[in-house]
Amino acid sequence: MEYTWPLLMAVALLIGLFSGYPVALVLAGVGVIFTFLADVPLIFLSTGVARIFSGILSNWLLIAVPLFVFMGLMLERSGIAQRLLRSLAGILGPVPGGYAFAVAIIGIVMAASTGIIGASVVLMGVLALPVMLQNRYKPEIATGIIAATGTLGILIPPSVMLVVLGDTLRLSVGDLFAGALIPGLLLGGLYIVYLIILAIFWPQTMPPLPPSERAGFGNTLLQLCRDLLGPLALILTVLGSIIAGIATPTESAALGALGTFLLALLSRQLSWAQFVAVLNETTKTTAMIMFIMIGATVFSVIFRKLGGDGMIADALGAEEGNPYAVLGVIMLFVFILGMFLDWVEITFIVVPIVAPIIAGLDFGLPSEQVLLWFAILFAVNLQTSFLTPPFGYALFYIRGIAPPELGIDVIYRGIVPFVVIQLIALALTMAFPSLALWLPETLLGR
Amino acid sequence: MLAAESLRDAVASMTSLCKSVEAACAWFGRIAGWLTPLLVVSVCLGVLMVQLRLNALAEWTTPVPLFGTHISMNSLLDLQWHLFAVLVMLGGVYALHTDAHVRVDFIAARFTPRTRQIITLLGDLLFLLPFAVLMTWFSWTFTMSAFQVHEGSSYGGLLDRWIVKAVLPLGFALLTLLGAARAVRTAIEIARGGGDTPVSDPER
Repeated sequence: MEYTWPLLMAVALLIGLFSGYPVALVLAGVGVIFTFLADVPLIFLSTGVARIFSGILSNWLLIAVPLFVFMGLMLERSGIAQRLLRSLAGILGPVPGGYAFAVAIIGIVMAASTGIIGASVVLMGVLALPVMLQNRYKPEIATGIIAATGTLGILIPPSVMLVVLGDTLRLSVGDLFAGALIPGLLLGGLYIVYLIILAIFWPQTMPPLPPSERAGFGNTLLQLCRDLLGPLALILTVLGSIIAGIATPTESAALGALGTFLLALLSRQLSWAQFVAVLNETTKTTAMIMFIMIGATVFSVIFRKLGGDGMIADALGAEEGNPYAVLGVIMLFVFILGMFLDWVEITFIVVPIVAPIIAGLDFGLPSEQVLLWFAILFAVNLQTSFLTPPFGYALFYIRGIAPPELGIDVIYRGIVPFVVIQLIALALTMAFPSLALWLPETLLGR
Repeated sequence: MLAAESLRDAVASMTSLCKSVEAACAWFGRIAGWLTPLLVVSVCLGVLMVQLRLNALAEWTTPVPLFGTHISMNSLLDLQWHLFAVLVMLGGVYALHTDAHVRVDFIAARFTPRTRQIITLLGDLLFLLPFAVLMTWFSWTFTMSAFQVHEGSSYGGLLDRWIVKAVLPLGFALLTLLGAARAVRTAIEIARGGGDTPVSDPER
């Protein structure tokens, strides 16, 4: 058997992952164990150290990751989402489904403001879920819209996921951000279209809220405009400067981090203890992502040495197959992985293995563009990993804050339409590569 | 009788020793959190310097370690990834201590606490410790060779690369220590048959 070792390694990885031991250490540990089992010279592990240093620790681009994480956590504590929800709900609430629109719009605005999840599922769940349930929204719709829009931050640029993908695929992060903008907004737009269809044909599933007596319509509109200033300023400085090519992702992330810190200070809601908690949380999240990268580095050095990349290429039939079939198989594989793992693990395990295969496929496009298009498809697909049962983070977060009579089966049922919408967005981007390629080409002349 | 009691005492003090070792390792990670504001400030400062077309921030005559005789734009750029490297390596130790590393636990959630303890022990022994020990060793030689050839920036940035490289052996050594202490403590808990205390010590 040509592929005995890589096959055994993949099996060991699966067992390790499903044992529930930390993923980063399973990856690294399996790499080390197979170095000894398969008698790989130890020099391969010591080159792993050099790779960790030059590829991760001294990688200036990756500095954007802690900065974006810090920015996202600060934004969540700035109270911007709370205030936006209050003013938007004041305006849209009295229409059927209006509150759900408010939740969706906030999801999209906050996603474009920050590189990780800005108005998290937990925050929106705590704020919006009780209101929706109290007003006899269908629980499936209430939980579905919160989970689906609360996780858009990872797809809509700026995005930590795209920074990491850009690093792994050696693509310009500016191109990736520009490329993901239309598919990301398309996805958010499709959510809203779905809500509109529900509101028109099944208005009883999303009853209007009683109009609030406290403030008049004009005042609320004014309030909304004021509440939108902060996010709009962030979108312009962070996203605008990267896409326009004025600043690197790291630089604009730092400016955004400073900006959100000031916004949080201005809101007078930031206590010292909260600030320290944000710092600790930033350290943990950054280390979590980077250690999976470190573990995957060790794993893939040994996996490749043992012929694992050849095994994957053969299994995909990359040599003679139809390029769309190969792409379809990879996308299906990523979607299935997304049911069990989340974007960090999938990115670091799958991308380095499949990228050379994809770059060699003939779609009638230059290979640089193929990779960019593939990265965007990959990112849209990974967005589902938050939502697909049995293991979607967003679902567990919702479960944690929902009232106990709301069972996990309700949450699972509620997410299905949104996953279908994501698959529609994925299929559209696959069928029309220009959805991903047009904006970078037009803006950056590529 | 007396032997049994002194054994119990020894086991109890072993457990508390392990806990203090674990907490001491994680302390480094807590410190690392304070690098984030420094990172924000240094990147913003860099942006400002470019806008103002400044190249040197400060100059002096007596060379100091790491910086040499000046802080230029390039030293600032180097400083940024130096801070990041420390944040990642020490943060990794902290994340292990606070159970912040991602785990695929939809199957493991159905295991009994005892089974989970056994998995933690096996994982520490099979995955964590061999990896951390080997990486400590290899990164030590990696750092030493940078020290011996006085490796530094070739473009007017920071000198003494060994200082930032040393964060690798430091981080991996702390991981080894933390993993070993946790493995001993978990083994004691399994042997005692107590399954109700969680293995890791999350702060939240």
